[in-house]
Amino acid sequence: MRIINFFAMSTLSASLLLLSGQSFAQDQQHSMPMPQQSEQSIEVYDDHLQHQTESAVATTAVKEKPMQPLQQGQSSSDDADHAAHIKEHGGQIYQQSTVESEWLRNDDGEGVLKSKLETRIGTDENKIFIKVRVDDAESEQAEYDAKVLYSRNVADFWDVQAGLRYRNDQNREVDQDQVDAVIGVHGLAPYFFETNTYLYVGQDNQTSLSLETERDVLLTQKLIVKPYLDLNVVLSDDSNYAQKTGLSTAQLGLETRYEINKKVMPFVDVAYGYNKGNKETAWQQQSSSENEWLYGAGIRFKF
Amino acid sequence: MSIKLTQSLLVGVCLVSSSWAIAAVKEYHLNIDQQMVNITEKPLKRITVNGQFPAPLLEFEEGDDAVIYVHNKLKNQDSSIHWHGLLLPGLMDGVPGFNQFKGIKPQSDFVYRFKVRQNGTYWYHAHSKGQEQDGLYGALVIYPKGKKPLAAHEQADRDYVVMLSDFHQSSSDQIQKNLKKSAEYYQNRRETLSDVWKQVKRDGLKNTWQDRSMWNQMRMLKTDLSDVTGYTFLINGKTPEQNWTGMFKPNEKVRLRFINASAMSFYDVSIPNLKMTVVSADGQPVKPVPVDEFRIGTAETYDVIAEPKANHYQIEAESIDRSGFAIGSLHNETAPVTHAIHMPKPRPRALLTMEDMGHGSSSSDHANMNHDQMDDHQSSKYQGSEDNSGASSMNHQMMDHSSMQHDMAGMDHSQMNHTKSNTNDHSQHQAKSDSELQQGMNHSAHTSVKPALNENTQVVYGWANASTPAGHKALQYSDLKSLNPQPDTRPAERELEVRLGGNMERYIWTINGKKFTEVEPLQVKYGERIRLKFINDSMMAHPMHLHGMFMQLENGQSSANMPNKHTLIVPPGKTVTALLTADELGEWAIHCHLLYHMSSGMMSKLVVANVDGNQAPTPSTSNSAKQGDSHAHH
Repeated sequence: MRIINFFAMSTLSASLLLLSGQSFAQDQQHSMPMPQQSEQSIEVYDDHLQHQTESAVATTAVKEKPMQPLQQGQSSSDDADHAAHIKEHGGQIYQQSTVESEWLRNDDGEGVLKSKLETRIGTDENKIFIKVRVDDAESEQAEYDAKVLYSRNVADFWDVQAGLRYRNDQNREVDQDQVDAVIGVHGLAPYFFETNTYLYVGQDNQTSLSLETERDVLLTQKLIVKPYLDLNVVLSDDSNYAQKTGLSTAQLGLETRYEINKKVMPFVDVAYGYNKGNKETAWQQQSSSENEWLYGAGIRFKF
Repeated sequence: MSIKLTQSLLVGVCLVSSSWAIAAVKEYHLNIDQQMVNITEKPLKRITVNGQFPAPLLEFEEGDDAVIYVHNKLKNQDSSIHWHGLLLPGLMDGVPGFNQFKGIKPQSDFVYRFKVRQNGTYWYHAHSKGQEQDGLYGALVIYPKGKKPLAAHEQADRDYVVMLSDFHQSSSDQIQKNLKKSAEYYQNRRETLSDVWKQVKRDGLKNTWQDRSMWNQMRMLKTDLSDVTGYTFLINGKTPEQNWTGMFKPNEKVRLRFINASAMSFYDVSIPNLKMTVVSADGQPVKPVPVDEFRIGTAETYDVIAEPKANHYQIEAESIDRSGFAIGSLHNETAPVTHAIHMPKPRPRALLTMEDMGHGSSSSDHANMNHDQMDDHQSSKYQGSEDNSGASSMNHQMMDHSSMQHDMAGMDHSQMNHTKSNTNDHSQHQAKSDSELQQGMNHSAHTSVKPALNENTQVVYGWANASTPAGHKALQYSDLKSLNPQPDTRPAERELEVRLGGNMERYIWTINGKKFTEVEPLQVKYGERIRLKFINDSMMAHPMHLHGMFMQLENGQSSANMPNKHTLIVPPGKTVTALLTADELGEWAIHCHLLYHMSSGMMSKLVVANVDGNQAPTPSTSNSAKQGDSHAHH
């Protein structure tokens, strides 16, 4: 168990480092962020020759007035050049990453350190989303999940996403790691509600729906309040650690952040949480629903 | 025999030398390189041309043979130079991927050769990535043959280029990435909760809710007048503190060639206490228009003549998001230099309205809703007198129009061929504004006090509202009349629609719903006369630039008087039309000249090609391919 845990954690942290390293590197070398550029630079010599001839042609063209320089189909090299060029006008690959860490306490003084990483890489139409969440409660071992999603832009403000989620919980005796299929929608709803909603399907008939939505309200340009709502609905669950079906968890909160700049933003968070509890199974006792106030503080980095 | 030979040799020599004499060859060498430049007291790596930032002024005379050797000394970037506004063969236009121009690879050269077929004020800039923002831009002035002024009113003793530009601490590449991370990255004057509260107090909860719900549903910001902030605005590469100064002697006439070489900025330009006479727009001569100020869109140029009488004037170009000024001076060289610049007070920033979103006329509900609101404003908030007029002034006025526009829309449908809805609109606005002007005058006495009082608290509505002071004349597109009658006054044979759209949230900008990566070129037959109809569905103004040919702006003037333009401002929610004679073969870029809009996809291709007779779809259009022939038939 220990070994698996260690292995999983180290791979996770390694991948985190790699990811962040990658994006930092991208930030630094402004001039060569995209792979397609290297192709261009290989062609340097060929093109040089071409230019020579071209400019010679051009001089004669000028003298004789251009009659019809082009209207026949373009050669394949032109197509390649054209393809390289049009990428400069809407075909670029961008990345966007957020890392945040928040210390949350409930009424009873139990604390949990929640960390999140989200990276998006891709074009306007096609992206890969990587989302990692780690919850490290005081008295327990860290529990985490990681999602890898392919994201396809389908409407002005909306992407459809599909991929896999890997979950790991070392506090369990069985089913410590599980993989679920994910399908969902990501976008900006009217009234500026940033919204993510996912359907998860996993082993033991586990199906659940999640909804996250949030909106910024500006107090000043830098001090920004963000009401948010996170819901989790369990549709069915026959697993060893089954949760009750129905609205399983809900958290309604108000986060207040101060944007020191667009890259660093500390925040405080007040939320009201609801948890419906667990079903009785061979591995756990039934628990009843509970409500709690949560108070948190954290910091978010965007790069 | 020998005599004949020498004779023929002589004749040959004479012929050759005469052609030399007629067409002077003007050569330039431009070395594109990267160097540290220090504009804002912080050395930054930027692009220089011949070691200069911005690039040097190039001067030609009409009729010259231009030969420009461009050497790309950048280490790992392709480069290119586009001659903005020049009529030339497609290959020489300098847009990579167009007309088989492949850009200029690092450490290699390209020789631009073209006949200079026009005169006026133009500029040049890179057409590769964001190199334009990083410093690859410069002025290009073509004097008339023999430097003779085109008309008496153009006679000037001094001739200065006043090139406006926006300089940023971040590289263009970083700016583009930041915009893609968050379109609000540079939005530092968004509306806050207190603005909402003020609106509630002013307009009531219901109106506020209605107004805001519209914007919220569209997921757009009223405050988005420019996408990038943090610019230092320059005149001829100098900051306001460095104060570029043009000298003059008493009683001299000064020609100022304003070029907006910014990547992202529009300006309202004025020289307080000095009237300017606009004599040229986009390099093309126009009949003189005396103005106090003008709005210059990105990539536009205006030439003005001024007759300074005092010793010192300050040229003030304020960005329309009111984030700063480009400032320079005109100074009497016989007077001692005493003046440091003084920073003028910024004008209030305008908030975008429904009209700017194009919703004024499309939905009567909203129009009415706004109408009410506007009436409120009219009584309480407006300065009452802006002869600045037309499109701009007074949104309530435009709201009044909305119903009329409705009717017109109906009419237009019935007479499809004559659709000039825009021009009509324009002229209506004009007419309206003229009467407004008189009202304004009447009011001016008592309103002149007001603005000073509530300058900062006052809310200004509408993209085009420049807050022109009472009694001042701001240039309108409708004022522009070509100095020389247009050679081609044919009506358009067909209309090409160019819809401008965008998704601010994702920072995607499109033409006809498509980015350049997915675009289908606009096809035009050689010699064809078309109407380009720019319909702005977005809430930002787009300076739309067509390469290789001039468009005749349909600004309410007769077809012989329409001004030539290479760049048209299409205000938010508005439609602007222009006529075009497709008399230059090739592939021509047509794009928004806001740099980051273009690099986010807002670009298309207009192909002018010969079409052989078989393919010509209708006899009428094939006739018109050759203007002369069709005339003969008549």
